[in-house]
Amino acid sequence: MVETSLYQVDTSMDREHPVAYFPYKDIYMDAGNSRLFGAKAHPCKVVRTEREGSYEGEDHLSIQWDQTTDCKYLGVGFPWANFKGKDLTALEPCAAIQFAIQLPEGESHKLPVFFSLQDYAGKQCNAKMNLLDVEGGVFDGQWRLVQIPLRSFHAQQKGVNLANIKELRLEFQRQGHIHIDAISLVAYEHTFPVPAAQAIDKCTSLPLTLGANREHFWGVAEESDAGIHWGDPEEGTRVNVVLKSGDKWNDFGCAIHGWERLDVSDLMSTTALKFKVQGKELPDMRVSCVVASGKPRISALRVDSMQVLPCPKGGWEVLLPLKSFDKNAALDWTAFREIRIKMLGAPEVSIDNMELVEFRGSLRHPRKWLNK
Amino acid sequence: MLWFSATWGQALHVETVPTEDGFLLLKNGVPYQIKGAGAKEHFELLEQSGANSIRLWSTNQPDLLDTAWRRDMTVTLGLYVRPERSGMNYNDEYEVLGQLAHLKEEVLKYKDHPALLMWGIGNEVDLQYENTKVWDTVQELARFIHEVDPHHPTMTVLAGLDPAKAFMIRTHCPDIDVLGVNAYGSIRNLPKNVLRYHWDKPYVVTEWGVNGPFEAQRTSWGAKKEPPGGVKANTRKNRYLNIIANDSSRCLGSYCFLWGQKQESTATWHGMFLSDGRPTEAVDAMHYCWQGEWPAQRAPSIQAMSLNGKNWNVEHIVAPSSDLELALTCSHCDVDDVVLECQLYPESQSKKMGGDTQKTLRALPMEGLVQTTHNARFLAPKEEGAYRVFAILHNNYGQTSVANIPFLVQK
Repeated sequence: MVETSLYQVDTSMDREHPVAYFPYKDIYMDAGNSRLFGAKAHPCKVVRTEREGSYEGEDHLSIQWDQTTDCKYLGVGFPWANFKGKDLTALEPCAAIQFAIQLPEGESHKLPVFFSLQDYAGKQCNAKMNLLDVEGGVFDGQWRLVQIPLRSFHAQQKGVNLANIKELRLEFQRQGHIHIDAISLVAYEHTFPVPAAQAIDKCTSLPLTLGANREHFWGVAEESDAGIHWGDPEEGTRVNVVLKSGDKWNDFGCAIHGWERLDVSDLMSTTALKFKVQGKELPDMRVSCVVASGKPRISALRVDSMQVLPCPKGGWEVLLPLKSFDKNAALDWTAFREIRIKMLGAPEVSIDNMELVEFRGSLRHPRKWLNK
Repeated sequence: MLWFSATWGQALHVETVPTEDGFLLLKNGVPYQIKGAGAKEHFELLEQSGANSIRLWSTNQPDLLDTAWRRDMTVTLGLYVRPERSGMNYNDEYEVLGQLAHLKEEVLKYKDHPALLMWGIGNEVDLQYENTKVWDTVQELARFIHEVDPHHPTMTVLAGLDPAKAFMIRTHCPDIDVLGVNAYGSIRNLPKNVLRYHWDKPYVVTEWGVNGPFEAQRTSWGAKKEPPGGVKANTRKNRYLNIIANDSSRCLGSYCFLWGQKQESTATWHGMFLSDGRPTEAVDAMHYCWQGEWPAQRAPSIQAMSLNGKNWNVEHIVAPSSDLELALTCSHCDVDDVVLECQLYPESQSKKMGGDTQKTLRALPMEGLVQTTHNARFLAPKEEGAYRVFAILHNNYGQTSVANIPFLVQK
């Protein structure tokens, strides 16, 4: 078995690799052969070229900084290849910016140095050093090779034209002192897949059972003397409500999709919330739909008699079309997360069988749809 | 750092233990109520006011651990977990593992510091987030801490509590020992909601104070209405005594926000100090909360302020270069030793959210300014636009009170 360090940086390059044919690989090698700006005398930053102890070439850069309120931006730039517009498009998936870095004193696992690529339209994208690509996983008195994959600049996301890159900039925050040398483009093999886009589960068919698990409710107590409490274990997620007038703990909620967002935007206009109520009297209830993003986050309605149908075996079925809720058009239905029920007055009922169902009836007479 | 050489091996042993009706925090076996502040400066006054702990949001200023330790204070040390709103993609394994590698090194570096009370893993990573994979990072750090540091509890800090967040942490982060909640206006219902959302471990109010700018009433041109300093100080005192100190069963204590100054919509909204370091009456309020008595020397305290006879909480629309008069109602204001300063600023246009850094604004000249202790006359700016006038009262002891009123200059 071959032991490999977690922080191993591979510096070898296949001759067939696109980087091998790229004419502007060297970003900064030494003062005589590379351009640099931002090196002038500055009250908060000192940039020097030092010959002694360089990693490669004639010299290296020593950059010391101390950010104060008077020096908000501290940086240097490398308009390499004599300000030519560089096309890094082909290199983005397979190359990295590599450099050697050394601390004059101490050791650290994080340096407040940010790297940005700027295009000729002035747009820039940033990346930081990732400890996984720092040789030895530490910054200290030794020269350590660091690689920043071009992919981690997320150029496309930031609207940066990778086909016309002007310069590389380094921005310094707080305080620090580094030696840096041999900045160049090298081949880079990604170990991790291209990140998937953030996806929200989509509701594509109905009915959808809600609250199959007690973990998916809030506001329902285990103790049977609480105003809102669970029924017996064999009753699953039946919620018992025994409230006195004026009780403040008079609401509870149920997740739509295990407390993750659910995109119901395609079905919303033909969907209704349905649940069953058991008790002597139909309670006065305010029901709300809650979404996880946008404004407003909540949309409510007060249940009326046209939304309720008595069941032959007792109790009632309640059917609330989502389009009946206040401000429903303003809600972000791609992020539907929760149903809340507020019990008004002093009800003694139980509620269960919550589900989202198909509804194609009249918004003013939902009970007719139930009758069907 | 001092502690490395002098006291290696003297880390605190901190744990949460269940009691009959809730939880206790034990520091070296002794019950410990966190009387804390989000603080990076003014430590002498913090100590005199009766605080025993500070909260740091990251490991960027490790010297503050030593500072706290020298004053016999503890530290809740934040591990900065990048929030999704800063561009972090929790589907990107490379970024996620890189961040974990760095933060684990930070844990190893600071776990034996004698001031360390508990770990704060992330701050408001739930604010405007979509990707619940962030909780895997929080859990992995909490698990790692339990593996390498059995002496300090783990906490993650939320931007307010809701049922979904409570569920996520309960189910995705079993190694989280304590829930931290930043609660401003929502602090009213926090103790009740902790129970209703089935959080079955202790909690700490990790940031609290007056209602945040995001909760404030706005003028028709979008300016946020900030209550005068005296009103805000009363709010702080009442919230501490009636809510935080009142929930001794599950609440392990709190960190008030902010023992310092920052720009968040205005320069004075959350800070208990001015940008030049002078304390406001909010410091007196915290002294009372932590010690049960007022400090000997009280700061002046603006209870109300009006512009041209209209109170601070209504709309003020004035003509360019028109005469304006500010009038203050103040307590602890001995006329002989209280001085009024007025400052004029353009209205902040920042769209930043949460505690994200906002730019400090530059003061504008005030034309025709004439002032006494309790009022000031000046001319409205010539240019149309949104402005905010600040009144700062200070006494001979360097204590201050501030109030401001946003106004619109319109032809």
